[in-house]
Amino acid sequence: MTRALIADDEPQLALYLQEQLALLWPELEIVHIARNGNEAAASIEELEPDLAFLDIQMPGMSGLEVAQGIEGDTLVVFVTAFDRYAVQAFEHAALDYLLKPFKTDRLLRTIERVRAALTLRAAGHDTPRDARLADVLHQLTRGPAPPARLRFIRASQGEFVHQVAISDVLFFHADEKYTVVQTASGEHLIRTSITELAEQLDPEQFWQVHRATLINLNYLASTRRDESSRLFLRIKGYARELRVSRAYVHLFKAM
Amino acid sequence: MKTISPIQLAWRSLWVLKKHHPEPLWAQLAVGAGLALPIGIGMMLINGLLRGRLFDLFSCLAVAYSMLAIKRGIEKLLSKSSIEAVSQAGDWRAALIINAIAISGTALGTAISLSAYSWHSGADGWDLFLTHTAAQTVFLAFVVVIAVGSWSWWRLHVKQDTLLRQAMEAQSRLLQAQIEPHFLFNTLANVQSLVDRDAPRAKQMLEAFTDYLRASLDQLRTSDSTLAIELTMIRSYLELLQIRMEERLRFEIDASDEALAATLPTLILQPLVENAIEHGLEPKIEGGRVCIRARVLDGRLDIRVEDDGLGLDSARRPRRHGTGMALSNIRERLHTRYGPTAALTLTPQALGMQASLSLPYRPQA
Repeated sequence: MTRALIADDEPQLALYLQEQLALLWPELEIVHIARNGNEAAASIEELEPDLAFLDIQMPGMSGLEVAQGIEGDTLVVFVTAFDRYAVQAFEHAALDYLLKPFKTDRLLRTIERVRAALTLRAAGHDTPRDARLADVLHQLTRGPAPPARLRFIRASQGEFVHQVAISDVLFFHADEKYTVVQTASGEHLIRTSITELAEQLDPEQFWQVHRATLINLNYLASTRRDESSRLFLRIKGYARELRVSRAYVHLFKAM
Repeated sequence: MKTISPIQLAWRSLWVLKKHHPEPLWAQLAVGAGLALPIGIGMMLINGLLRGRLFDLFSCLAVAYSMLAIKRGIEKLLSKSSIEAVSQAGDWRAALIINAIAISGTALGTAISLSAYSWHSGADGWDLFLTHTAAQTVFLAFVVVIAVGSWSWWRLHVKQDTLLRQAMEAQSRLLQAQIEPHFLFNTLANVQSLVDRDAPRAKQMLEAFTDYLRASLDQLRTSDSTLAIELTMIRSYLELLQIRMEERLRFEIDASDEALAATLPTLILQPLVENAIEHGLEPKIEGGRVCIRARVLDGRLDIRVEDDGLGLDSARRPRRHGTGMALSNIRERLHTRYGPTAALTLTPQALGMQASLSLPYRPQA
């Protein structure tokens, strides 16, 4: 049985989508309805649904951010009321998205696409959407103009300001408030977000591999795929493994 | 953006009283000379006042620069606020001052050139002037021409200014009355979702939406409104959102009867409430409350829009469109309408944001 999650901050809309899905795809089980991005991310991690309908504008994390953090096999259908750029990006990448208010035949089309993708996946293939999702997220989360390249990170600690050369950074990892700058010799905390950092760094050298993680390719030692086909990275000079979210797994295909 | 040369700037603000002029002094002097020289040459051609032909040119320059000097002197002497009060378009006091500057400048310039003539030629220029009725007539004619010229220039300026302000006001009203597509489609989606399951609630929602749409279209047609009308529209907006956001939104509207009768420009308050929702409460996981209070105090209308949302933290989140636009739009409209006597201030709170609007109280007639 296929399991799905719905995330929308407006309860009536989530309920309506659930009703419509029950009519058009009775075998689909709705495992959870989340009312904000953070709840959606946590539930996806915990329940590992096959499919998630994510509203883009939500309190807490946006639907795009939630998608950037998915590590498992959950397919994403974005739902939005109006977002010209998002719609353009999806059209271009032929991803699944739904415009609110949606019509029944449009929802049917989405269901067909999702079913086809799930069948492909069950047969052991990756869906063509995976690669495009990263592109779309990349377009939507980054600003239009590339600002100047960063050469140093300045992190204050008490009365000191440490200057760290970008080439010494193994990776950046963000939590709620801070971003950790990891070097071989230790870590520093800064306030700049992953998205802002990604905009200012050389995309050839720094790869975003997760909503919260940006790695320096020069220090990538190895990758590992576990039995449920999740991808992990090992970084030189760092003991633990880093996780790669689904949208970015394709980046490591050719290696 | 088109750049404006200093000369153009100087030309535009030639007769405008300002504490600080953006254009450099040389541009002002150049424009002064540019006006004085053709007149001087004209006078030379019809052989003017004081025989010495080049002297006509000199006296015209003296007159032009005397006017500039007197104008700068007045600008330096008066305080910034009184200059602003005087230079409000359509104010007769400004026209009077401009005319006084023009006439006293003419008198001073003529006096200077007469003295210079005496010093230069050894003859008594003053005596020549006082004994020649023709010279005095020419001087008087000159004064009249200058007075009429500056008066008509002033009338034209006021007219242009009023038209420009009206056009700007209409444009910014149009911008603010625009219904945000995200809001529109989400509301429609909610009606769609309720129509089968909860028809009475769908009906209630459609009604609130209709009220809101009608009110915002009405606002487009007028530039003045009362607080009572504005608050009715805001109430239907908030009721709509409450159906959508459920327990995540609470609101309170509290206005004294005196405040309700106040007149104010349309759609000044609505964007502040929308901001509180869009940047404060909508992105906050647990939601919160927005509170609108209006009072009349010491002849002023004070309106406060408070929310306990994300406040400054919302700046860290990328949103659909900037607050900056709406706020600068409101500030501009307040300034056109009330000059320096109205203010909009945003104060971050421990929790959320407070927007406060203060303007002169003008009750509805």
